[in-house]
Amino acid sequence: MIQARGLSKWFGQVIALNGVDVRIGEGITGLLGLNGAGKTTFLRLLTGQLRPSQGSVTLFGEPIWNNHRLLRRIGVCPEEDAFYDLSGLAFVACLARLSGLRRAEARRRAEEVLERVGLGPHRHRSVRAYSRGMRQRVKLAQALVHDPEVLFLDEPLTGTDPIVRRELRELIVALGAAGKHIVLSSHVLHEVESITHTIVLMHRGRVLADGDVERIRALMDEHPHRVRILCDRPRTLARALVDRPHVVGLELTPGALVVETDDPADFFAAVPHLVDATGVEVDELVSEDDDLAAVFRYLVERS
Amino acid sequence: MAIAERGYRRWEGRLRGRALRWWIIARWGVRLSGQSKWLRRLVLAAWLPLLYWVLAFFAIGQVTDPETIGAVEDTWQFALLKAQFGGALADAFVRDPASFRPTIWATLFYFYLYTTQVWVMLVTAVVGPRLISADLSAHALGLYFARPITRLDYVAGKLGVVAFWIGAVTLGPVTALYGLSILFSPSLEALSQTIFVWPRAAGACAVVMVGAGAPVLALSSLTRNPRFLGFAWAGLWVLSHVASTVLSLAIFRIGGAEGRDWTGLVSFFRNLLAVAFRFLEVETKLAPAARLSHRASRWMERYSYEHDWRWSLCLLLVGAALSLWVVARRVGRAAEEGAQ
Repeated sequence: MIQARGLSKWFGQVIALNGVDVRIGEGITGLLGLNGAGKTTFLRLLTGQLRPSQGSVTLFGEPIWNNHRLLRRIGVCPEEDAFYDLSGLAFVACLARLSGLRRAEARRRAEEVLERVGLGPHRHRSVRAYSRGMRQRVKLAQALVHDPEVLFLDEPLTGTDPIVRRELRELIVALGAAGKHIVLSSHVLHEVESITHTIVLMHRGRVLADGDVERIRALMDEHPHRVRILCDRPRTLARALVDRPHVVGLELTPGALVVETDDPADFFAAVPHLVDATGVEVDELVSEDDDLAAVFRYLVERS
Repeated sequence: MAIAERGYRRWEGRLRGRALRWWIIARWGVRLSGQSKWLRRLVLAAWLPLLYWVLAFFAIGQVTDPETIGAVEDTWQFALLKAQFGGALADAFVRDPASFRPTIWATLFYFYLYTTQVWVMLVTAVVGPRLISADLSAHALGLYFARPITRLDYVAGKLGVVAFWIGAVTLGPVTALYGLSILFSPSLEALSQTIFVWPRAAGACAVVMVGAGAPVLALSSLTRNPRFLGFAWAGLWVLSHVASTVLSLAIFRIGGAEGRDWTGLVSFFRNLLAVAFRFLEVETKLAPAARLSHRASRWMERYSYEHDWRWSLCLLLVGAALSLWVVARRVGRAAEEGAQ
């Protein structure tokens, strides 16, 4: 569906995107990266808002830059809150008109999508008075109003509370199930994982990995997994662990033991028995490799 | 707030072409800017002086009615006409309306346009500054350019907003005044004799819309904080006028009237008025009256421009083109900056 070939974008001396080669298929795809990874630049290139400095990006086989026919087939939900002093309904209806809907149709459709995103009862309130979650919904509504085939959502869950986040997640999954192709960016791995298993990992303007999240996790599993165990007698626990087949490294620090294992599943299964056998009191067990930063750290080291 | 459990409904309609997208941007902008109470008050205030002109044309209609000719000298209508044009021209007009109607109408419409310039300055100072800077500061450009909209559509739409409000204090009242003037006229003969007035006045208004609208958009595109931009814009108008006057006086003191004919080009007001003066052919129309009336000859002297009006038109159009180029460049750059 989307293909980027040698895609680069620079702003003066700053390289925001560097030689990206990636294919994004149908369904929901998560664009993952830490802040400053180049996700927004990549999304703007994908949506034809920026001209590539080098390389190309195509959507449905056609270049997206300056291609107004393709722009009709996409919907963009920007990260920024760019609102005017209008009611939710007027805001979405006006953007629908800019997308090419006739006046009456724009209003009817705006009501429909606002209802769909749960803003039906609030459609006559000023957008400026909306809460953060409501603003995210109205942005989603304006992206959906002309019924595009592909939706690009830039950090749609950022800044929302857990309840709103869950509802937005469900909404995005439902849109995906309704046949929309969605590319959403985020810097939170577990959020993206709860929506889709297809991800593109970006770091410092490059694509580090793309594909199924399980595959990326499997790649990670080739790398020793680090687990920090806070306990009263780390040395005792280290002695018990040293002969375990999948433990490849041990590091003693004050009040804690850091274990490196190449089979986390086996290790976590064995821990309760070891604790029971040694009588060590464990306060905390932390997997150091479970966040996005660790994923990037590992993949960067690997590349 | 629970999200209603309703499946997504597809939309089966057909999207329209993008030919009129600029129009939608303009309409949206007019609606948003019209929320300003100050702007609405300004436009209302700009229409109030029209009452005097309506009265003047009502009087003209009355005194030129063939049924009342010869019996108007003691009426208030004639007194008003005399006060406006002087006794000689008023007398000549009443005796021979057909010959002097184009003179009277062209002169009155020019005077009206003359008075509207201050309103143009004030209205553009209120509307213009926020038009683009607000989009820049709110990062709203993405909302436009993620749709099938070009920079040209965007710039034309924004120009449409400021042109609408300039038109609201120039073209709108001029059109209403012309319509009423025809209604007050004793016969349709007046229409055939003054048919040139409305299109020429409308042409002059169009030059004002573009000539004053484009530069204020350029200023708006140069900043994300428009707080003092309105004052800066009004200051530019006033300063350019003061500079033109000071230069003209200085050159006059040094070397007499020779060599100061270009100083009118420095003033924004004078450039706009020089074009309106020529468009309405005031000089040509006033020439026969100037032979009869001292006041008309004084007007000729006072309102005629020493510089060639074509330079003024050229300056305004080149200025507008440059301004729109600046806007397009700034918008393009801002869209790129937004991605960083």
